[in-house]
Amino acid sequence: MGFCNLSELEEAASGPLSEIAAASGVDVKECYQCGKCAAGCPVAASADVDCRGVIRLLQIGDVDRVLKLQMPWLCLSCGVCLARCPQNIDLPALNTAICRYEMKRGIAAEREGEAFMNIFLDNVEAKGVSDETMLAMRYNLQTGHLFQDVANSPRMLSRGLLSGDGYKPAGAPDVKRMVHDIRKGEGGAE
Amino acid sequence: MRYANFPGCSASTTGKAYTESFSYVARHAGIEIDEVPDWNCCGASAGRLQSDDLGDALPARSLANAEAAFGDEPVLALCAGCYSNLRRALVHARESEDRRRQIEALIGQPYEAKADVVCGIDPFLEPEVAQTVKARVTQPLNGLKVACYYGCALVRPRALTTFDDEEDPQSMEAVVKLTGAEPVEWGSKTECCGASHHVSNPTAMKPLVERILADAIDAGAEAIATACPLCNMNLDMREAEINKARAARGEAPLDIPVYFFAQLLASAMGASDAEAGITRNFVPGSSLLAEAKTREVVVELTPEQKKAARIAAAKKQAAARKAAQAAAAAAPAQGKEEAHE
Repeated sequence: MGFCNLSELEEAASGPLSEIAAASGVDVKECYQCGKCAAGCPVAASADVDCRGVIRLLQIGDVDRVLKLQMPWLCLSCGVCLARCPQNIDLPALNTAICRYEMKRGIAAEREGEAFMNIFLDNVEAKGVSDETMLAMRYNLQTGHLFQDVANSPRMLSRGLLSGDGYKPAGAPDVKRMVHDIRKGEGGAE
Repeated sequence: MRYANFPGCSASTTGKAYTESFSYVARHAGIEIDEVPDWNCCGASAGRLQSDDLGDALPARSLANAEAAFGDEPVLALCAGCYSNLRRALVHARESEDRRRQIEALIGQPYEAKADVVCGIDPFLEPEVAQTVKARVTQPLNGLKVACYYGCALVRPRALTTFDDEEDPQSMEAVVKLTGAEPVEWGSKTECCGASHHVSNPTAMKPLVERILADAIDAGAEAIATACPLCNMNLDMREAEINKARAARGEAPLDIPVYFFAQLLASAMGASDAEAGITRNFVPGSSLLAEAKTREVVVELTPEQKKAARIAAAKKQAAARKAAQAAAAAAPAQGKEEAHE
């Protein structure tokens, strides 16, 4: 184990790190690596690097490695980490900020997560509501997971859980404009 | 009490049984429901992942519509995901006047953040409603052991929700008790079910559901109660997939029905399985409830009642002993008289 000066390392990666920090409101130096977050995290066991590791990598300035991790995309924002963190560090907000940083530059480390978000929002933009059947079909086609949940479709159909009542908001055109403008970065707020 | 209901996109699809059972209970418990006019999707997890603006604007538009139609009437969101998103927009608008104005600009309509946002459990915490439900329970689920499952979005983060505890809430237990069922204590009540990540990351999410089902069974639960269409689907529909994988590993199946808490209330209040949406459940749920209704009621006494019962029993015993002694004293005398004759 070598010695490292956190302040110096942080400066080296100041660009991306400060952008992610500002967007999430998290100061990674506040973390003292107690590990309560990862201990309670439901996806830590299947993650490449757990949430404590993500913060550690940011502390030592290895932003490049963080931007290739699956962990920020696996995060469910379930909030166990934040509820137990003695420093009240908002890890879900940090993970969200990392995902957004990657998407903005077209370098999302997990294409499924980004595809799901985009297909979902396309759907809402077009109809004002989310059509779950359409969402699953388009997602499977676009990501190549053709047979995912296919076995469940007839089970859902026979229970009357797929059809829906066809509700569409009267103000769907307003929703379309609002969602479109925000996604294109032209929302009403600065 | 009147509520402006925000149905959400799953109300007529994956959450149909929740809608049906909740409506049944509301009709019979004096909960009056309006529908938020011209509501739109809350954005689920996608809106808030895209940006803070989209995360606030999508739910705020529906909240503004509710406010325009019904003023400060509380907005009811049966889905935990909708509840969480609506509350986020509400809290953001309430905590900063600048943010409230920004939100108004984003949605293009006035929004004063006057109305509160509540989840499906909240109406039953009102004492009058709880009393009405209790009085209407004609087919109690006698001693049915229920694991109340909240998931994450109802209870966390603390800054958004109004729940009693982030990791050990008790409000659903209080509501489920009204049916005569007995909630169990267990450790996974606020663990995440995996939500929509079952679509984008199915392999990593299966263990989450498996652990929740296994923990409920380990705690002695015969059934799980949920308060969210997505949680319910992930537990109920995916139980079969998980058991298939367990069978391949040579492990015993995790066999436990999953109900919306409103289905338990409706059934205990006399709703048919169709009225309570129980016929839509993936893990068959009819026979367990029917069996629970035939169970003998075991009345749990308070310590004071137990003491009073002990004293009464001792008094009765003493009286019986006295009577026996008196009878014994009389009997030999009578015997002697008989012998003299």
